[in-house]
Amino acid sequence: MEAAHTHHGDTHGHAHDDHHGHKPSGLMRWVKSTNHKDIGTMYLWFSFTMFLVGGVMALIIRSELFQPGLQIVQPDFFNSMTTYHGLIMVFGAIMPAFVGFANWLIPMQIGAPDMAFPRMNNLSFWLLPPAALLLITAQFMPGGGAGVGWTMYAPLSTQAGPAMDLTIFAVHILGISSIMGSINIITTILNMRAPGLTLMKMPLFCWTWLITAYLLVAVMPVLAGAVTMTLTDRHFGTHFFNAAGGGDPVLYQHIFWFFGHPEVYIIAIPAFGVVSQVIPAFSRKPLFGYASMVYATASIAILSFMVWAHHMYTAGMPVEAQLYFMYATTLIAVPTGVKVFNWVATMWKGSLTFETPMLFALGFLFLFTLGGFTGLVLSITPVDVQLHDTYYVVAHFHYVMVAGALFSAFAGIYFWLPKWTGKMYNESLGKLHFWLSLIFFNVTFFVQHFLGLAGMPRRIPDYSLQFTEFNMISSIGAWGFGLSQLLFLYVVIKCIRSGEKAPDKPWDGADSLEWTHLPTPAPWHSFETPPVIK
Amino acid sequence: MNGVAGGSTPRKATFIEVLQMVLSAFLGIRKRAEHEKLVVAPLQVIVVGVLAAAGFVVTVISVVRLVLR
Repeated sequence: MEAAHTHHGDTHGHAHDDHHGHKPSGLMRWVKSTNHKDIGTMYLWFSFTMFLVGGVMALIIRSELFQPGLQIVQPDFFNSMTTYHGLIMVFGAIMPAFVGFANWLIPMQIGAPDMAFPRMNNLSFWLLPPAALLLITAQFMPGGGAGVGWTMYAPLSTQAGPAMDLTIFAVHILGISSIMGSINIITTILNMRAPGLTLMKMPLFCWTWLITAYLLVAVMPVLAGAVTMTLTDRHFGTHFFNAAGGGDPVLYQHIFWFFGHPEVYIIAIPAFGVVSQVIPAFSRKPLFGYASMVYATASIAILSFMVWAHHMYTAGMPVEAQLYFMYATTLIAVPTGVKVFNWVATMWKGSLTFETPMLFALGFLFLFTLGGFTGLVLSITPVDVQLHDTYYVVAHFHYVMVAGALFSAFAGIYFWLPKWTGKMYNESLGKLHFWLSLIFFNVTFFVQHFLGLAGMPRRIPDYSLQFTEFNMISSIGAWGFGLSQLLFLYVVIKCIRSGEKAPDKPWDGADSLEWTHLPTPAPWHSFETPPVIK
Repeated sequence: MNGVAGGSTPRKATFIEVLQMVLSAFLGIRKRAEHEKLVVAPLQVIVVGVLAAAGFVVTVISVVRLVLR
């Protein structure tokens, strides 16, 4: 508690100049910001920008795949697109989006004035644009972007051109940003809760972020280690991943996936948190099995460290190891199933209404569960040997990442937009955005299951003729999905500029502190005196 | 960090109770009333959690050995 008290003083100290009724303005408001709301806003806009950049890359991929043969791009550039689409969407779009939610919401939901370390918060954010710039400028290096896949496997990554060095440096910077963000979130949640707000009374969103932050602190250094070893293999004569020098390329895969599997949950768990706020609010019932949800989330986080090699069934491993990872992976479905059950039970006999946030939360619930089931299919070793590196895997993880994480982020944005901006978005346009996204998402990705089952490999710019129809359908869906997101941008900008004034609590079922104790729009400093929780 | 506050006077948990708590976490099912009955130090949960995780790995490996015999 000592640190929190000291810090509390600090917050008031450096913030006193805006107590006199004016906020810092102009560009410097954003560059020097230590305000959790401004930083949250920057995270969200940054992630949306990266979402568009990664989305354009996706559209280049899908346009090339509209027909067999090479029409639009060359294979090297295609490989570079699949690589940076993955890296930018994972590290530049989805993760920062949820950090943006954490920044905006955690202080408000626990009754704190701001994050524990506001200056570090500023640095966490401002590390992101240079990293993004590195990933984008990598395209213009001699030899083009590094077409190594987002997993950056050796020996491709140890042999790639100079773009790889920019990519490695970008991953380092993104990792540092994530670790600092996590330290901030952990400290804020553990030290700055309002009196009486015990851990088990926190909104589930805060719990999911507490657990995610620990995951990030645990695995980001592992990723940094993997890419640093790649860097020293490339330039400093080491042979970590070079069999000729006594190293082992499979070692890279083990290290990468020891990071990579928890990373899946780093993305999914905050999404669970958002959905766990939205579903009860529109069911007008408290979350069913709150304690179970907390325990299940912790359990998923722990189990996520013990299943990494299910990504590597075809890399070569003893049958004992294959069986271990297969059994352990299928068991992770149990706590995940508990969560899905709890969301359904929350809605059971509730007074349901279906505003846009609820629609996206339900879209998440259906489609994430579908993505979870295809994950179970892939966890079965002999099946995975058949489906590994096919479009079935691409379909599977896009159900988890897009219909899971992205839909939940949309749910959260529509849910909290009134609190953030003080204005209501246009409900009809929001619903239109949902239906367009839902339909085009499935048009894009459902058919990819069939392509994968028929044997179409991922990460190729050309394919056999028999895959043409499903690829055409998928490409049409991708353009539809991409263009639908411009509607989302329009809805948000329209809301900010000319939305109707939002009431303090537009959702009658919302019950966390930001709705019950703060006016709309939320004040510049959330809680200057902490609320007392009974 | 705050301890766990409950309505009726909660008591300190025994090792078996913490183990039960961790195992129910692995399943993902826990009654709130059960949770509120006990005071559990974070260190207890971490130690028992690590042990139980190791136990989980050993159990799965034993099953694999059994299957392959």
